[in-house]
Amino acid sequence: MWNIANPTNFLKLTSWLVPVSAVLTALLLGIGLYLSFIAPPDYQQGETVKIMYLHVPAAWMSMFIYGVMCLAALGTLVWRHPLADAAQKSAAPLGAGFTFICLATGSLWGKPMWGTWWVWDARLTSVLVLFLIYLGLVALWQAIEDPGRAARAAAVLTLVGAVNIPIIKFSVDWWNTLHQSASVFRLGGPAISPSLLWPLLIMAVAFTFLFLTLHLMAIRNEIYRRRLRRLSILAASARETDLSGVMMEPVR
Amino acid sequence: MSDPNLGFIIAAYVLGFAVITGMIAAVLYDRASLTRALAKLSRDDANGTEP
Repeated sequence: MWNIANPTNFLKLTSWLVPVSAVLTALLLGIGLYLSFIAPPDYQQGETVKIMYLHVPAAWMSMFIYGVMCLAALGTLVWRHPLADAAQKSAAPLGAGFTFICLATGSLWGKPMWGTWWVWDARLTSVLVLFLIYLGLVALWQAIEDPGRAARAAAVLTLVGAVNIPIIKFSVDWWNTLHQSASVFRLGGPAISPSLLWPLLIMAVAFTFLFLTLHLMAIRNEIYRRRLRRLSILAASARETDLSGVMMEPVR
Repeated sequence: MSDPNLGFIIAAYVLGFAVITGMIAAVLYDRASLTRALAKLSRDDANGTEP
């Protein structure tokens, strides 16, 4: 882990890992979409269950990405890992994107099945709070100019916001919600038919690879952004030195 | 596939993949603009002109 902490080593790693991950993502998405479309309809929901293959992986990713950000926040505050800040900063917009997909597809699924686009139940509201936390973190990174200070502030906010993740997961057990309870990750094993489960799991793996690809690319961008900032500061200070040298030269 | 809720299914997939395309485009655009800015900075540095 510390070996890739060096930005040069990380850039070397991404030069081959990003294309490999991108190809795997495209392949898995293709297979997942094909299996989703040939999957049988649900006995109650009919073909509308196809929205599940997009909604559920997006929901899992929204929580998984937050977990990644918590690890990165610990990396910033505890282990001072040089790439932890970059990993945290670049994951936030992706987390917001996947959470938005989850909310929007959930709404489009809710209207025909529940008869409403939105309801303020515990699951939906806690996911909306997660989306707002992601947006808050993106705004925080933009608001503080010094990257070191921004990283520490974002890390603290990320760890505080982590309390929302178990609330999202267990909201359907703790409160009476319109949203259904867990049907895949539960004590008695998955409650859905394997013909519906397999396409769902493949789509989930595809989304995980999609996140991995985009996250690696975004961290690489962050390294370039820091390099650009450092070089701009160096160039500006060099110009200043030149200018003061000219001004200090005695007039003959 | 003829389902009374086909419109909702299509809307969900169109919206989902539009967001995914947007995320991919944002990362690629960011990369292109950073690479351009870094190249400009090193070119200015070599020429001795102000960036």
